[in-house]
Amino acid sequence: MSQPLLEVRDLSAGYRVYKGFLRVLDGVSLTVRRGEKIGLVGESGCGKTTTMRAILGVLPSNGRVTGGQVLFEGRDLRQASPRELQRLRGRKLTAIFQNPGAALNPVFTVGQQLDAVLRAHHPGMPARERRQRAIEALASVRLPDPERLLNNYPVQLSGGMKQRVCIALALLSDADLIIADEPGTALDVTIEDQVMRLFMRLVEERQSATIFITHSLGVVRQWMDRVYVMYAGSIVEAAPTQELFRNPLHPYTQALLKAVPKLTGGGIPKGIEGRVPDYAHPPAGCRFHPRCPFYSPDRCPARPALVDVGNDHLVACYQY
Amino acid sequence: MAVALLEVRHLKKYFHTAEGVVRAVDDVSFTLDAGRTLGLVGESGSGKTTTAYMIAGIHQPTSGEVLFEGRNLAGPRSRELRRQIQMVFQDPGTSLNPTHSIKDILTLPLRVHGLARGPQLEARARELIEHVHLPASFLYKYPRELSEGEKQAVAIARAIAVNPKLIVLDEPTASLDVSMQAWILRLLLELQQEFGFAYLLITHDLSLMRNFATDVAIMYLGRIVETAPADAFFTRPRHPYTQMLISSIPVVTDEEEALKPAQVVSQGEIPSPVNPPSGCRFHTRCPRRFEPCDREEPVMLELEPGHCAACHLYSGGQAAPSQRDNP
Amino acid sequence: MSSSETAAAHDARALWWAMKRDNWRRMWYRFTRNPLSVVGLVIVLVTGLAAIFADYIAPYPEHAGAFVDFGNAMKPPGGQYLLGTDPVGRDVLSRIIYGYRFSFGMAIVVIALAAPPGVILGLVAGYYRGTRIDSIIMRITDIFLAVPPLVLAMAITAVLTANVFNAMMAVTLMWWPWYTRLVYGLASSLRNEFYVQAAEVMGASKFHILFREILPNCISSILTKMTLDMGFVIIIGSSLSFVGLGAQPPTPDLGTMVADGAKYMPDQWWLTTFPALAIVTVVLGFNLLGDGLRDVLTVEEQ
Repeated sequence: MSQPLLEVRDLSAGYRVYKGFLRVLDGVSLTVRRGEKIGLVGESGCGKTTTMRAILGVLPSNGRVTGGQVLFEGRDLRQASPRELQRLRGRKLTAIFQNPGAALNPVFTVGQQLDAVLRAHHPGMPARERRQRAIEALASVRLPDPERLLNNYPVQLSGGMKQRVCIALALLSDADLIIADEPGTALDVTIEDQVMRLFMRLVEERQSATIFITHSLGVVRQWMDRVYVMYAGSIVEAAPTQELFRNPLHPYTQALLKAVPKLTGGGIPKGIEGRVPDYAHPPAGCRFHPRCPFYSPDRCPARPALVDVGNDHLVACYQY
Repeated sequence: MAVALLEVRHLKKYFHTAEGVVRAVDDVSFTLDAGRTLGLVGESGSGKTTTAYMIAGIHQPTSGEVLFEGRNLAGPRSRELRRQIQMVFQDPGTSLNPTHSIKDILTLPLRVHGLARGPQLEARARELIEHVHLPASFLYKYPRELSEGEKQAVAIARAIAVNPKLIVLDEPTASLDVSMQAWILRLLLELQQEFGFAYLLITHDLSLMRNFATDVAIMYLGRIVETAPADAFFTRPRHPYTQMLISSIPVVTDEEEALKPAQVVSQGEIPSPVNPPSGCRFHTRCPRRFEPCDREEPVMLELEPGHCAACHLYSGGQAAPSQRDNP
Repeated sequence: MSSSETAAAHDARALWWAMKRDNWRRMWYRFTRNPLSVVGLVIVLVTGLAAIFADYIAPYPEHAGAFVDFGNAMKPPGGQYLLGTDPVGRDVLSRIIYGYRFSFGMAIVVIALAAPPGVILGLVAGYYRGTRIDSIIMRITDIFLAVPPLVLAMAITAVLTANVFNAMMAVTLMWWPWYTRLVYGLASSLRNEFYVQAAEVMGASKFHILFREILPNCISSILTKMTLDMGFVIIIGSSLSFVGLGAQPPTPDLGTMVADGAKYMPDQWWLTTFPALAIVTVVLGFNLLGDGLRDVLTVEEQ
């Protein structure tokens, strides 16, 4: 069995603030194999972005990783030197962010930004070849008139086009793993559909793996191979996509699926009781237990481990 | 025959900008009755938000009429009229003044309209906050201490404080989590049952629309392209754009997947409202365009009672009621 | 209200105060993250208190007025006179302390007079941006801004008599436009915030919108500016005195002291150096404090 591309083991991290320390991530574990498309889904505040930042090593100044390992191709990124990280980032490991307008530098043209990435990763490449590669990259994301686009500034492009430029930037580096943080949020539904289609096709062509972070269960169901469900800083369930949606096991996953309004009708669903926990004083043991309909006082206060119930389906709940 | 609560006729709003004239809303007509919910759906550039803002009184129409209980709303509005139409905004984080306490926020409308005075203000604010299922202690908090959903509940309490007849809901749950969304929507329905408000719901979320609106109108580049009662809209969408939009939604169950129309793959960029395409505005992206589409604008036709669409595929039908009177 | 409701109201109000206290603590925590801000605060407090309690702190309060003691003139720093004495025997330290009182006083008056009209004009112009009111107000503001501040002040005081009052008027007159410009920028972007639109949809009066909706959200920027301005006004005031257009002898003023002492450089170096350092210190203090405030207040808004 080949080594997984990325293996996150029991990652814990948090932020230091006035009130104390917010223990956001409480033992996150996930595995990404080569070419796999993983969806990391959870509501806002569950720690998805923190996970991404912790993996890439770009937590803000008040953020700290407090435990666990991030193994990329076997090497622990937490032990890596800044130089090593620098070499990995952008080359083997790259990212696409939520707001394409913020990810692109407004004072440089699209061409200049693509060129900068090429120069960083292929120092010897002559200018003509770089330009050619840039044009190919833009064409591969189906942007019209790539040659002219090189001279445009980000502000001249629509949201969908900007996001496609960001995808082109990420793909230029030929990375093995692309982490995308809610890239469709700022886009219209029909454009998001187009962009997703494109992105997934390109990812498959290059055999890159991707971790796709989102709060939309629908997006995950439509495009991903495998889903990790996250709640309050830990993974509560993980399974191949079809399996998860046909057979959700964790109470949170079940509640989440019920809480989404359905296109087929059925009225407004009930929603989930309670609030997301305060990370300064999180609940002991299973962080979902205060809101769980299956709460059992003797079993729940202990933190459940992720258990394999077959079919590559993992759940963290005492019921299994 | 009873006068409709809200009637919009041939409404237009053009903005003059450096790039040219933006035809944000370009001949929109619809009606809304008391106690009903009309959903306006569309993507960027559709004009749905501008339409909502004109109804709420934030923008003035360039031409066309907005009739409220038969009265034309043109020009600056009287305080009394303002009381009747309220609005809940898209982003609860910025729709509440961060320097005001919740009590201030809820008592403002009461003070402006003279609905309460002195100690009554606090009592009434307390009632309002209880109506939206929040504890009275929230009155003394500031918006930043509340979650997004709680803030939106306060915004709703503010809107109902003056007993309006019509509430414009601009993407009320867009920035909310799934669980908060459900809570807010149930609250809105409950309040509608109790007080009989009419809602004008603006959203891009079709699954929400399906379960909340009684009637739906879909807009594209400033025009309404299809309008129907909610069920018909989703089970029998007629306009290619409607079909494209519905089929682009990521859904979570197999049943929903089966409901989606045969894949109408989205293609092309949404054109800019400064320079809309000739003829039918959707023709540049329409997989079913044919001869007249790039020349002639389609007329709104009534395909079934209450179900209208503007598309050349259906020409030869009866003109829709809203189009029968001349602009 | 029933007694249980009164109790609930009490609790609610207690919560309110608790929250306010918590807020202050949090802001203090953030403020102290940057040691320089604390340094600034300390400097401002020390000089400010010295200014207020000059009568009690200054070793020789009588030296602040018309006092001569040629026997003790031109004494170098040390001994009885910590910072030395001037040509007529007055203690430099005491005069510096009283000089602070004068500078603080003038700066506070100028800012208190300049800020309100400037802010109000900025609010109105910003809210009505794009209309004629905006053009009129901002053109007038631009005119005042176009004149170099010190030159304007010098011109005014040279034409009228050179005294404290005229100097203050001159500085005020050229100070208000900066507030207008600051608030104009803030107001014109804030007027598009949803809460302002909500107030409009509600039917609130324009007065309410300007002063109860928009203004409170500008306060933190205005306060920061006022703090930084204290330093600037002190410099401008001292500059005016330096050229003889501000405070007149025997009033102790830092600028005048620097000017008078300059002739005696480098032998009686203490006559110019200490007043100059005094100016630098207090201005530095306000700058550091102002920067610290800005950091704290902008983060709070997020």
